[in-house]
Formats: sequence, structure tokens, C-alpha cells
Amino acid sequence: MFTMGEDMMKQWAENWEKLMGDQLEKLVTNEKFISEMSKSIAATMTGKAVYSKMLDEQMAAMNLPSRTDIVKIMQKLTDIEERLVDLTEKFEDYVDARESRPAAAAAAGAAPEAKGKKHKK
Amino acid sequence: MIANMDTIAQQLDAISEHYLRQTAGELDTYPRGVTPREEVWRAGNVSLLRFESPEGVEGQPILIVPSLINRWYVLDITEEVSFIREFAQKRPVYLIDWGYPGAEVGHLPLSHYYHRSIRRAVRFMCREHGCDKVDMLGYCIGGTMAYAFSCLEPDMVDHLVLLTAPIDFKDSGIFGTYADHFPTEEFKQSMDFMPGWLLAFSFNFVQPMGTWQKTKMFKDKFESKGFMKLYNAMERWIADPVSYPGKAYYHMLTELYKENLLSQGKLTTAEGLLVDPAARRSKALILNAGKDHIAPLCTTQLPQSDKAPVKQVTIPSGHIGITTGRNSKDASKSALEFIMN
Repeated sequence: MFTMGEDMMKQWAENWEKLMGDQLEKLVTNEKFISEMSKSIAATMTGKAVYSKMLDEQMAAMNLPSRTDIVKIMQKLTDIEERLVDLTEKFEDYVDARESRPAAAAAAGAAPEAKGKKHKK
Repeated sequence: MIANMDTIAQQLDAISEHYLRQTAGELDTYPRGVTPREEVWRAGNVSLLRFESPEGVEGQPILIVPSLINRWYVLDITEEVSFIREFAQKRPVYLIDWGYPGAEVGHLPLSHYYHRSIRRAVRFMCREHGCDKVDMLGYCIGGTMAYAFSCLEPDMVDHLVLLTAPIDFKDSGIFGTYADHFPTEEFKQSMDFMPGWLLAFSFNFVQPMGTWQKTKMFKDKFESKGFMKLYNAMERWIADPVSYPGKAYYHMLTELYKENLLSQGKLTTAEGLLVDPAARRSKALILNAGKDHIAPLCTTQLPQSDKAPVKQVTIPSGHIGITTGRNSKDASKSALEFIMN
């Protein structure tokens, strides 16, 4: 009796899983559903943009920096850091080029510590 | 509203983290990656990690380019299941850690990541090892970026392993359909980044029975210590989402998913350089997964114009399973054999 009940429960669970799986699979791959969901996301994002703009204006009226201003400063700092990395690489290349010139002119067996720094692009 | 939802999600995340620390605590002790490593270079969020190899291991270094969508340590999840650990036994291994990008890098284009960042990493490795090219493995979108890099800098890459990397986005499956409908222009106007929690939600959303199936598997196997170790490590990884930089996300959706520019040889960097598949010279291995719903088999194929030597190995697993599942050893073995020969 108990085994029969357990089997029935198992069967019921398997049927439920298959039914739910099929239905949900159909839903999340349905182009119309995806399209409508995207419209809803678009409306939310537009709302966020409007809300952010209003906040920016209010903060500007109070002579206070807004989130947008802070993000802009952070992005400027990122740009400066990127530029510094580029300049450091250029400087290293310049030093390498200067160091490798006399080494190349000398014997083929260069100093081992300089070897790793000669190859670059 | 999305910003508010993001804040709520972050607070919920903090509460759940606190709860986990207070009660079970165990998940939090799981490390983010198991192979010992050191950070050898950093610029902003991006850092280059070097993994420890046994003494005497040398040769052309391998650079691993992980996905920008999630954390890298899925490739180094436990001592028993780790691509990185296996590679590090044979060659010096480096990995680009994309970190946790936020609004401060929201203005950087996708090419910043697939060209500038990878080039800096390769440059560092070449200087360290006295070589002029490296071997490379790219996973998921990291593979797409590694491929784009090998087209831009053909002299810098020797062997290229494309691990479930979408290259041809013409029939990119369910994610392609979502990308086609995604309001990219509204996103561009309103967001500095695509929040990690929303990305994680979308991955769950397209597999609606995933959590149910995972729970069933947990019920059947929770008494196995080996299973629980991998399960907890995976849960730690899943609960560690990363946000995608805004402009780079916009470029990924428009230039790759919607317009399929990479495969057509029309993709250009922010500096105007053409990413030309015909220019690529490195030997490539397409290592794809037969049950992959994120990068279906047809998306992993290289463009017709790419005439460099290519091999293909298909592993019977899913997109994540290829790195952590029961066939992951076959995948890492295939990759290593290809690189070593």
C-alpha cells in the first residue's frame, strides 16, 4: 500500500516536472513573450534615464555633485590610469631598445638578465 | 527602478552572505580558485595572475582569457577539477582576471578588453619569459575575445584553444533571440553597466527547470563528500556575479549578437583597426560542448575567410559542464595535448 502510494507520488512528480518544463520552455522561447518583456525592460530603462536626469538637475540646482558627475570623474580617472599604463609601456620599450642596441652589437650571448626584456611587441 | 532593484539585490546579497557566515559558514570558506597564484600586473580592475607550477616547468607560457560575464575560477574550481592546475603542471600559466567592473569602466569599448588588455598581458608574459608569442585559451566570451586578438595580433599567438567560444553569431540560439529583442539603445542611455545579478537571473531564466533539477540532484547525491565539495564550490561561484561594463555590453550585443560583424570580417576596434579573420595565423582548436545552450555548436565555427589550421573536438557536455563536469578531464586533456604538440 505504502509502496503504491510512493510510486503514485513519484509518477505525479515526474508528470508535474515534465508538464511544467514543457510549458515554461515554450514560454521563455516564445518570441512574442520575449518581445513584450523587452518592451517592458525598455520602458523601465527609459524611466531610469528620465529619473536620473531629474535628479541631476535637482542636485545641480543645489550646487551639489550628482551620481552622474561622480561617475564622470571616475571614468576620467580610469582614462588617466590607462594613459599612464600606455606611457609606462612606451618608456619601457624605449629603455629596452636602448639597452638591446649595444648588446646586439656585442657578442651573440647577451647577458642573461637582459634576455627576458629584449622580446616585445 | 533598475538602480533601486540593484540596490535591493545588493542588500539581499549582503544579508544572505551574512546569514551564510552566521549559520553554515562553510560556503564562505570556499576559496575563489584553488591553485596558488600571485598577481603580477594590474591596471584598474584588470589584473594578470600567475599560477604556481612545479619546479622545472618552463616553455612557452599559456594565457587564459576567461569570460567577462562571470568569475574566472570556474576553471580552477576544486583541486580535483581544474583546467588551470593541469596546465600549470606542464607550462607556466597566466590568467587575466577581469575583476569586478563597475560604473568607472562603463565607457570603455569592448575592444579595450579584447585588444588593449590582452596585448598588455601578452607583452608582460613575453618580457618575463623572453619569448615573442604565447599560447592562449579563451573560455566563452573570453574565447571570442582571444579569437579577435589573434586576428589583430597574429604574431603574438602560437596555439589558440577556443573553449565553447561563440564566433559566428548567426544562429546563436536562445541568447541570440533575447539579444535581438534587447532594448540596446535604451540600455546605452540609462546604464553604466549591466548588473551582475540581472545577468545571473537571465541565465536562470532561460533554463526555468534548472533549479528544480539541481535540487533533485542534490537530494540524490548529498551524502557523497566528493559531490558536496564540487556542489558547494559551484554554489560559491554562482553566488559571485559580476557586472558587465556598459559600453562593452552594448558592443557585444550590437556588433556581435545582432550584426555578427566578427564572423563577416567587419568588426573594428575603437581605434579603427579591422579584426580580420583572414589575417590570423595561429593554430586553433575548437573545443566545444555538444549540449551547449549558451554557445551552440554552429556558433563555435570559424569564418570561411579564416585559413589558419583548425582542429575540432566536441565534448558531450554543457557550457559549464565542459569545465567542471565528468567530461572536463577529457576537455582539459585535449586542450593540453593540442598546446604541447
